Amino acid sequence: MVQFKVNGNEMRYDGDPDMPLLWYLREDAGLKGTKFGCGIAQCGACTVHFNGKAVRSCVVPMAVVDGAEITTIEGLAAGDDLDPVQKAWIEIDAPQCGYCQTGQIMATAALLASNPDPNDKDIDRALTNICRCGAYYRIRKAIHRAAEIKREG
Amino acid sequence: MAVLMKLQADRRRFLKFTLVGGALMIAETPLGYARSLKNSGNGFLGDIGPYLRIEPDNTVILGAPAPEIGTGMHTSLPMLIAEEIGADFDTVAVRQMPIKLKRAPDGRYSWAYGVQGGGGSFTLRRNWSPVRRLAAVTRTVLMKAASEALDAPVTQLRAENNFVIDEASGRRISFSDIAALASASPFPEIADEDDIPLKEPSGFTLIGQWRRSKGVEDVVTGRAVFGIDAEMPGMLHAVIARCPYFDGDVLSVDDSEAREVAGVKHIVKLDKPAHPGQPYLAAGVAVVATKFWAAEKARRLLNIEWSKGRGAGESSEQIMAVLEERQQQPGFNLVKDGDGAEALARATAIHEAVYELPILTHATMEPMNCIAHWKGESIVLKAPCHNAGSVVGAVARVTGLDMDAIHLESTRTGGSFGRRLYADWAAEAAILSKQLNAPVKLVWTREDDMASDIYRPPSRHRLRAGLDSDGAISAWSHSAAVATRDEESVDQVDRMQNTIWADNFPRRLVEHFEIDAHHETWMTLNGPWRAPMPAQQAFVVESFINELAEKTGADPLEFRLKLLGEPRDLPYEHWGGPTYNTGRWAGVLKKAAAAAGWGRKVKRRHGRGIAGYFTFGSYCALVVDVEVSKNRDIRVTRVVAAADAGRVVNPNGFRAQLEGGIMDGLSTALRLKIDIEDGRAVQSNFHNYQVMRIADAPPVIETHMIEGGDNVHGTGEIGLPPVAPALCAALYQATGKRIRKLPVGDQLKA
Repeated sequence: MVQFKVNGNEMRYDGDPDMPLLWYLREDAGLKGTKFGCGIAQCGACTVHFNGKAVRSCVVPMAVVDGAEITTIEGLAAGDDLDPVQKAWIEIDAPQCGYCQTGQIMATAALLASNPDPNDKDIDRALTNICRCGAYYRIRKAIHRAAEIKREG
Repeated sequence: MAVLMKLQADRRRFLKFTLVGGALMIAETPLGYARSLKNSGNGFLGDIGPYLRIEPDNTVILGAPAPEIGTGMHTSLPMLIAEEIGADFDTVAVRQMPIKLKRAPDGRYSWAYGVQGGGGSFTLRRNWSPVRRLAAVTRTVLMKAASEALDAPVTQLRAENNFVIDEASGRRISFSDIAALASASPFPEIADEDDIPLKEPSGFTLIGQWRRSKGVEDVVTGRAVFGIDAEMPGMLHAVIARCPYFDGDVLSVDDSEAREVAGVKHIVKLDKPAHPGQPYLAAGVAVVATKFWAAEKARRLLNIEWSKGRGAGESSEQIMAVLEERQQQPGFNLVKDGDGAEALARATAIHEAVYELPILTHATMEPMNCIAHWKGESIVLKAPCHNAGSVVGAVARVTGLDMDAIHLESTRTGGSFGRRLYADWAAEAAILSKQLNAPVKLVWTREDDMASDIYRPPSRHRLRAGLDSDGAISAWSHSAAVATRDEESVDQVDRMQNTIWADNFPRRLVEHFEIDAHHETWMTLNGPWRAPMPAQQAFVVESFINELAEKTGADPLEFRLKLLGEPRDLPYEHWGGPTYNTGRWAGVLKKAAAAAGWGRKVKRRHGRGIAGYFTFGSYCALVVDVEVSKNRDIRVTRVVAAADAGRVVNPNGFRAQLEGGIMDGLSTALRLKIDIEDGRAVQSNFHNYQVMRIADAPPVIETHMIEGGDNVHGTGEIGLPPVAPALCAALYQATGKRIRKLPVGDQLKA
């Protein structure tokens, strides 16, 4: 039995400890904004926050989730008030097919939490999520804009 | 209660107005859609078109005939509606139409609700007239009804922001209130809907304006429902261990360990279909469980012995050698203008080069998936679609159902790039659901995706040109060789269609022009991959043109402009034809060059390359800037694009598609290829098929829009083809090394 929090809610799980957190979130918790893209921590479509750090939930087994605080895209906004990253994403209109974008947003939110004003090099290092539509030009703009919105409060 | 009103029996009425609950529904009738397609002057005759609903809250819903796959259809189509009907764009919502085929008395099938295919950058163009006409007729009927309600002549009325307004009195009535009137009295008649004029482009207030993508809020909050997020009550989850050898089979299965995994319900052997051709299905073993993870875990515990089939021993290296060998002999003549041999003999100089293009996989971000629920005499499917017709066709073929017994709902789609024009995944889900008599959700993993794709085929090209004393091209000889599966088709031209067409550039600009084609059959599956033919030919032809320019000492831009000559229409008997215009092609080249500062000197180890191409009715030219480090690492610093896709509906979407196409082009040209060894794919996931990440993406992409024609065109494919030749030209300037084989990979370091 593992106990943990997802978006502030207490959760318990006593199923297969090998099951990746991604599939718990999608199929047990019904939080489908976290996407499956590769299963080997390469693409980042499944990015969530694990005790505040961006992790790729497709390779986090449920066995290690005990005591953790997990935030998914569904828990990023404070109620109806979207997170600055989400606001910036809408403003810049970054998504194309949209499938990878929740992961991109979660990775960006974690980056801004530790580095409120990342430069292009910081972004290159921190954002390794794949966007197959190649929306990177706008994603980069949206990251800078999110930092601005956040600073403006 | 749904009140169904047959408002008019006039044979000339093509729209059907009905009241459904409190909403007014306006749908195209078969005759109407067919006629409007005919009027739009292009292809695909359909049956019944998109629909509109005027809701009781005065919003408008468009039933969209095409899914959102990332190309902005669910934004541009409602823009057409809002413009023509006089609605506030923000009040126009989009709903994916259900997809259904119906059988005519003569036994032939047709779309029940309108053409719902996709591909070829044609969706917007196909819907441009019918969708606007739907809105225009609806607006006219609403205004006639409003004229009676407001007791004012129609000429005194205008429709704006979902209201009809009497300009004399200032009184107004909402679309929804007009719709409500229809329950009391019949709607006004319209003599001939064909006579209703569409708005003149000069009067457009919305088309051509920047609009944000509809649904972006759902995407960024995770609420958007993709196929992989869809559900059906009581569904089971399936994965399939497919034979990794393209023509192999299951020899034996030991599933004893797999069956021990909690949640596993069924393990099903899937036979190789007896029929060749579509849908291509691999032999395999399906694991069906209560959860995805249980199925996947159990699959990893299967012990399967595979046979390799006819593909045993086949490799990408070997196939290139075979293609080279074929090219030593004459192939079949795709086109022959003039007398190339004689012209070459007379030429002042001859230049020759060989180009090779690798196998590519689509790697859509959302892996293939489909839910199927077999219901005995029908089947219900939910899936992220690109081409609904292929789904219905494939499912009919494997289930034996009539196509009109197949009900398909398309969700939002996490990319296609051509992959979802095929429907092998839907056929698999249907087979499993039928066999188990239960709703089944099939999900492919990334490894499944890369091992069992319908890949872009490999090709090899040998080009030879004769140059005259003025430095003009007097003869052009192109030998193209491709390897494909194509067991169905025996038509030689057909087999080449994803690689080269007779009207390949620069046909008709060079007097003596010929294409000699070679086809080799092998077991690796193949199909269209984003801008299928242009993406390959632009690299080959535009790279060669850059080489010829150098050979003659000409500037590559000037060389191209001279080749294109005076602005004129030339025949182009393929997708995007029937003609192309040399002036529009020259226009994008000049624009991109001017914006990029073409002709200015670049620094040492920097390079700037140019290329342009005509793709599916549109023109795009790029200038790519690179910097190559002392270690020969490549950094693309800027891409400047100019494109002419005719009239632009949404500049935001236009730019987004160009930006994405350029990134895809760079990603692919720099690193991507699938190797085949012993009849199976070597690359298996994003660690060895390294799709570009943000660090390698150029920080600057400039997009310039030229509206050089009245037609509208999709822009999802046009940005990609010129990328590889412009990139390689820039790399040549920076390093002096010609890249003639993609991907670039580590060739600069060799």
